[in-house]
Amino acid sequence: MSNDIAIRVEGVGKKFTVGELATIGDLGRLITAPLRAIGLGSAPTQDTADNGGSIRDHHVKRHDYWALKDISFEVRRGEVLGIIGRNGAGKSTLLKILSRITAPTTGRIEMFGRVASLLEVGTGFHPELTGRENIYLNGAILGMNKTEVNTKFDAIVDFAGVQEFVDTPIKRYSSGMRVRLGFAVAAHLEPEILIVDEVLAVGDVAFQRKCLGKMQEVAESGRTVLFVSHNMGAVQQLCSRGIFLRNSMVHTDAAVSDAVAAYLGSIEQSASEDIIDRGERAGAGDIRIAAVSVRVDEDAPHGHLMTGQPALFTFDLEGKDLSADIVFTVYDHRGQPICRFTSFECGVGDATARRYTCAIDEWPLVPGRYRINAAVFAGGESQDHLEGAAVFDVEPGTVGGRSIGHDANYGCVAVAHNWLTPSDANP
Amino acid sequence: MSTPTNTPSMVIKPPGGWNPIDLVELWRYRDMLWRMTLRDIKSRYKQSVLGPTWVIVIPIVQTLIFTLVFGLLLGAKPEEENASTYMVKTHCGMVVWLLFARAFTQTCSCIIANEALITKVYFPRLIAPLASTFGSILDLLLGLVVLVVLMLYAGVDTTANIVYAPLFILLAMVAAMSVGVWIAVLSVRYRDLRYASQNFRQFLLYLTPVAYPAAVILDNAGVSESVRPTFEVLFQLNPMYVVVEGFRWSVIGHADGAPTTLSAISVAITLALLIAGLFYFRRVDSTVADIV
Repeated sequence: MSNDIAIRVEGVGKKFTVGELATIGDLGRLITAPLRAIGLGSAPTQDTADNGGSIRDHHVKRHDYWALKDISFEVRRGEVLGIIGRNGAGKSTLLKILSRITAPTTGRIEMFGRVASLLEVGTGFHPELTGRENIYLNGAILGMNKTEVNTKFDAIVDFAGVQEFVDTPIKRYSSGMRVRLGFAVAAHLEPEILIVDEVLAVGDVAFQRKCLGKMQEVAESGRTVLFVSHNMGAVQQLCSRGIFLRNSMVHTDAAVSDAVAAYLGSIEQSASEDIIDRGERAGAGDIRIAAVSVRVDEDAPHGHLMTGQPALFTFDLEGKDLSADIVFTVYDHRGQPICRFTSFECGVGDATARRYTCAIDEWPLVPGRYRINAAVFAGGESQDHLEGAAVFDVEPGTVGGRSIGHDANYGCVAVAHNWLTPSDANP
Repeated sequence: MSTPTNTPSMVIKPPGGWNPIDLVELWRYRDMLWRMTLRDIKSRYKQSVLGPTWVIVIPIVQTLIFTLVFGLLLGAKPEEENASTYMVKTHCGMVVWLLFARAFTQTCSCIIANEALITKVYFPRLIAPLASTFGSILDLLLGLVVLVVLMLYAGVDTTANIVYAPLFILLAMVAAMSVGVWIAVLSVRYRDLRYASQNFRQFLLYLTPVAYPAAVILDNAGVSESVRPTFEVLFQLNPMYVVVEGFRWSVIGHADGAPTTLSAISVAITLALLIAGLFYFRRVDSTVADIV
């Protein structure tokens, strides 16, 4: 029965045109654009006749790119669906289409019920306006009317914990307060269908927990939730079903654990490909990561570390001669982030460096399989972001004289430690 | 939860064809329109010493400059008229001109200025130009207060025609939007238009009889007698000519400004441009987030 359906997506595709947007050659078209648009234009020129008359396609420097291809799925009422995939797989595009920010090129989507989508917190916040004014503004932008905001105003202020500052311009707020206020407004929308981006990735840990709690509450109250995230932990905690997008298409649509497994599997698989050939990356692209290696020392093979032994992470860069910094994060086999390493403020980012090496004296993680995501920053912006830049196995070793074996059930960090005997403690 | 139904509450489709302007939806979003207008007004002069006083200072200074430069230095003021009456006349034109100028500038940049909103949340995109235009109403109201004070001071009486004044005010906003919505959408791709539109606005000011009668321009432009009537017609087709002269006619009974057949034609062209512009806006607004 279609009565149970909350969202139906049929054959949705989205085409983008990549390349220069405005060129001198467009000027003539620009001048005639108003005439053509109201139907007074002349017959199509050679230019437009060649490609069906689309304004976007006619220049040779441009080419088409399908960010989504033939996406179809249905979401039942009360289902909590996670959408996962790597950078460039089409997650954000799908999210924007479902949120009506942009229209699809092909296909059709039907929604049954009031929809709220949350791509960021505090959309439209104006720094000069007070907390109170921004609550009404943001509420109105998200589609609440004045009466609704009035009745929920106190609850929103309480949830955000900004009681004393409600009449202060929010430019005086800390970034944490702003995020809390933004989420608080959104959390009180009460839609039947909620579409959420990784907004949970912001704010302090306590607040993230509060947000996850609120989402759980929404999910448990029988409403439909679509959750797009990189955080496999959160996805597995919240969602019952997962869709893994890969190369603009639905790769896996299954129980959440299967979708996450397929996602993690694909990362490991592509980690064996040549890094420079990989397309699924984000950032400005002036500098790219060309190669990554993880080894115990210079002569050891790539891909193996040992608990308690040294570790070397080496990154080779390609591209412009800019001073760059590297950030990488280690994830466990479940996709949970464990720790992060950055070259910021280490003085290594000089213009000539093409190889960066991060050395760790004693590798502290317990045996198991890990992966890293790596990013390059230069000139104040993100240049490259590579998921699954490397996958490696950690072999059993010793930390502080204790042998550390294969048991990740009790946490994955091994810390050197000593016990004080009663006589030592009470001399 | 609402009762399940087989009819979708919302359908998302590829853009295509001409979409009607969804007035019902605009009405549902009226709170947002109101809040966006307020945001524009409240944030405008924050953290300046004079604050909202600027809204009133700017038109006064503009009127003074125009009175001084054109009226007194360049001799646009007729001999028999005293300076304060001339100033009332100039301010009368300035009030509606500034309404147009601000609404026009804000509308032209309404998509680019609201990029952060447009790429993050759905709302009827027409809210953006509407809020931009409505934000200028505050300037108008304060400008009118100044006008009343000036009229009392100069002893200029109003006429029964004042009942038509709101129509000319409305026409100023329509004129601003009629060109503004085109530029708003087209400048997303061609940023050049943002700069060109400001030059256009400035040029239009000099073609509009704010501080001097239109005859001054024609007299000094070296137009030969044979083509002069054609130029006069073109002059009067400028919607801001109709607004400025008409507003003056309705408020202080300036006889030259009485609407003519040409005014009606100008209004018709402006309305046609606005309606076409709104439909064009609707045609492209569903994908504007991709390129802004």
